[in-house]
Amino acid sequence: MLKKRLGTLVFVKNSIVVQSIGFEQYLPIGKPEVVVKNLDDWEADEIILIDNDSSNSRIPNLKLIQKVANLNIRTPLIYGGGIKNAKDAVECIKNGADRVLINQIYFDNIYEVSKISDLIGKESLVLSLNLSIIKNFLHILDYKKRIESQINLKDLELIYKNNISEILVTDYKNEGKKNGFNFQILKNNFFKNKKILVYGGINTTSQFRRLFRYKNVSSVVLGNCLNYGESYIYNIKKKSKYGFRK
Amino acid sequence: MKVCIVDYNLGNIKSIQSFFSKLNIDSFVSDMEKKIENADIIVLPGVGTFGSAMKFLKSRKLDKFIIKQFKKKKPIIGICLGMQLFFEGSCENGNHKGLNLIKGIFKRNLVSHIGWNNLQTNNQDFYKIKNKYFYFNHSYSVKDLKKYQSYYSNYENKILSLIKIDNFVGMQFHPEKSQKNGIELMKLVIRSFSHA
Repeated sequence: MLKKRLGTLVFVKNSIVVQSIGFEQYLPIGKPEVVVKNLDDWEADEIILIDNDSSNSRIPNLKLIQKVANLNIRTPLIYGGGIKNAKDAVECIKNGADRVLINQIYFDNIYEVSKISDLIGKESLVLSLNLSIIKNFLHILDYKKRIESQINLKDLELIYKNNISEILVTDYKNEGKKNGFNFQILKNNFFKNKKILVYGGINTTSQFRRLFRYKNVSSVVLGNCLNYGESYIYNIKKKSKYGFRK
Repeated sequence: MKVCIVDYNLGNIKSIQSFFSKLNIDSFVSDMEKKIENADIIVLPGVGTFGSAMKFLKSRKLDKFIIKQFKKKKPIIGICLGMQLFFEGSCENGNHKGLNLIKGIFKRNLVSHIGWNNLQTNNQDFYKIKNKYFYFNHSYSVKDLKKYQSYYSNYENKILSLIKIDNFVGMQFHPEKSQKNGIELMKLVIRSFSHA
């Protein structure tokens, strides 16, 4: 039986891992290779590595991927940052990523998404959406331009159907906040038949319990809370009645 | 012992190389027949689409070479897409012919099979991996093939997870990303080759 995943997210800014709060404040944590190695040792179900510097430069950080791959990690690695076309995606996979995460292409060149999918397969492609609810409507953040707009679900439906295996839904306004995740986001009909990874302000047992009632949630992704206790993953899995692999 | 990871310009080469290095096994990457022939074990890695991988193999005439090695019972490991290529074909982005060494056509899952799933078998549990969890990441599957030594996983149907024919071992999951279960299995697979 396919298990729900307990994912982890590592956010790199200025070459170090940072604790992000609402994509606005950043606190330094440490070297990416040390953080990733720990998550691998703790047997997280997957590691999402996002390089913010690459998102700005629009060039994937292949050196960072290689550095992480050279650690001989045995946990699936999803890399995001600076991927603008199929060539970039293939290079990320060749250098050690198992799947790639795209975000800015959705705003800049939506047609490139199908080209990436045609080459690496839709199962290796995850779309990252930074979402929030504003006046009861689902809004998306263009991180680069810092613009929030109402999301066009028709375009997204088409892109998802043919090219995307899973969507990383980030509640960016509540990211880094205790018990912050806004469940209103998941109530949108668009997500009903999509496989999603959820991230942002998820850190309490009651949230886990609630998230695991959603059949479409394939992975619950933790971030900041992992930096404050090395038994966190072990404890969640051990105590969990939520269907994680133990 | 030397392992050659076949480069078809798509696969997760670095992940596989790191995996063999963790097992203290020397590996090298090549897309040239003469170099691949020198290896004790040939590995076809995963990640990528069926059509693109077959097109690349044919462009290097590696399709005929791999068929020959399979028939010669050379130890071969196919991982994910690397396993699928040994079958008749796949419906991924059109209809594509495979190496046609095993009967079966890969058909699209209703939903991509991504994550940790366990293995079951109708045959003998020859690798002692029944009920153990491995990491899957694929959108196309074939049904379990009972006539061969095989394992299956329950996902939409009973889908083929591992197949062993002579010295060919195909795995739909990614042993290199399956943490300690992946390492233990690969050690057993390699040991079984060295005893063959």
